[in-house]
Amino acid sequence: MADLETQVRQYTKSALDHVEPVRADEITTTERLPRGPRGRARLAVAVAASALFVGGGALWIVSRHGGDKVRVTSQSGASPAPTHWTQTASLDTELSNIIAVRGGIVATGYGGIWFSSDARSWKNMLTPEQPGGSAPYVSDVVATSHGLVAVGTAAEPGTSHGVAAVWTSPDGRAWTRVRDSALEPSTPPIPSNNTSPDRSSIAAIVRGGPGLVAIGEVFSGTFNGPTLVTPCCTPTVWTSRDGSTWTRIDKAGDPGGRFVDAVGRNGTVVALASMVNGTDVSKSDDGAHWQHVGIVRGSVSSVAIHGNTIVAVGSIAAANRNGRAVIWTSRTGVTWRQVYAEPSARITDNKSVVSNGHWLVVVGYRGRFEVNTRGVMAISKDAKHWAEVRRDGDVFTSDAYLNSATAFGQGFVAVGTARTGAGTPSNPVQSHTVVFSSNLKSART
Amino acid sequence: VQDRDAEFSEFVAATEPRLRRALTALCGPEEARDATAEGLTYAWQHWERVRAMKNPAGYVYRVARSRSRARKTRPPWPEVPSSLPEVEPGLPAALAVLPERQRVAVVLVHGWDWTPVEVAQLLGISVSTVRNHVARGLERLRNLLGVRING
Repeated sequence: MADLETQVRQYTKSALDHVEPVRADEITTTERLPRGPRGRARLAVAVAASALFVGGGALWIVSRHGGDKVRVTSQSGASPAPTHWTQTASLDTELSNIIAVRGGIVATGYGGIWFSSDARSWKNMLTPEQPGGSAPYVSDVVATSHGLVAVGTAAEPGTSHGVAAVWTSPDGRAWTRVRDSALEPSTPPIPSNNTSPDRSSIAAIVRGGPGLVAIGEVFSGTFNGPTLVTPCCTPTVWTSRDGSTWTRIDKAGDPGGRFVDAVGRNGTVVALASMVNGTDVSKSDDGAHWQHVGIVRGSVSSVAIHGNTIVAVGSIAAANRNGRAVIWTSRTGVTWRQVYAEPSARITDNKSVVSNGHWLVVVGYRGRFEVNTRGVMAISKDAKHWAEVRRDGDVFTSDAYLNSATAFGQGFVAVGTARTGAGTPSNPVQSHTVVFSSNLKSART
Repeated sequence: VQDRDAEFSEFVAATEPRLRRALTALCGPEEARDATAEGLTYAWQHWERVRAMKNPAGYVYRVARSRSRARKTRPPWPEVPSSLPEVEPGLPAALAVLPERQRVAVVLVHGWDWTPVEVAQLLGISVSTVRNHVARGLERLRNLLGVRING
């Protein structure tokens, strides 16, 4: 072996020195988009190369596997295919997650919590307290028999650092923040002028274990002056029976990992944590004891249950160093099968996957980089054959990206970020939240 | 507007290569272009303020660093190419776990032959601190890789 300095030089010149330059005209004609949800990996992605179209009154999907045509009978079935989408709302806020609840839909993000009974009219129900440094963020919501529980990060009184936060609501309209010392642990000191790390944060919440299981992280790093000299955070789990009182399970995951998403099935929780070389999969029946069961060879951003199948979406590194979109499936979480890999050289990003039991919907974006992207959506009935949703070729073209989707009645509702303006000083780009719906008429409101 | 465009274009031409390499060292090649674009976009949006700064490149680097999603998602670093049998296969993973500034200092100084002064200017820290980061980063890499001091 060569000496270490030579190895670094050879590796750098060979593996790191190929990043395409950014030109000034790429910057001056576009604008930065709002950042994605905190704590959720934004990974490159999976959108099928196949086409979907409606003809002769029947829906056809041209499979990405060899171009076979698969006739879909959903037009007359109980769950129509989510092929036709219309924009139903535009909101001057930043929302990245959407969840159907009893009587309506809840959307969350940096804009707090918003509620709608029909996907058309929306009202802001909660604006979290502002920490001094980082923006508050409502990352996820789950419905329980007691009502709704939302999680995220909000202000810690007296400091500039955020802490894990939980809010409860009986109906999605009135929200109350839960104060529990388990959510606000003692941590190593963070310099007051460093606003990057939160003391704790929650990325997702699912039903399982004793009732509810939330995944996130707690700051455990060490600063040398202003410099963080050790990994910042430790994966952490919180459990609760009803969302009002919480128990913290410290060091629930590998110290080098970061929880990204989880699903619950029959009381068992499957949690995924982003690692340096893949995504770890762990299982727990009680939320307190976790067993590492498998690894996904790539970066997973979102996971959902579809029938008996766990579906994960994310990316692997492509030969051209762009992210390559991938969809994996697993029956047990132990072994994972890659069922789709994006052939495109374009960078794409899958942000969310959701199932209504009949259809899977994956949303994200495609583009060269964040300042030049458009929303994309793919659907599947069986998690094996995927088709990109197109409507006159341009239903999502004006939109920077799609963030999340939820099953609502017999249809789906999706939330994304759109932009207007040319990106010039006289006509600056403005970003806002857009809401799309499919088969909304059949939704129960 | 044309003056503003021209001035910004000059800034990008002069700054972008350094910025891109430093951000590659920070968050890996997969995310570096996005991070570079993020930083430069911020500079464009706030050009009147940025252009008047003493060290605009350093400021844009810190903006890009703070906005980089790679700091959260930690994307994998590319494997060692098979054409480099002299390089430890574990080097990418070892680099990935180095503290940010140690990794940036090691890669810029030993990977791209920057001087400690150049690194210090971009990171906004002292030259001696850069040297410390390089020394500690190499020491930690040796420990992680089990490499003997004399190679």
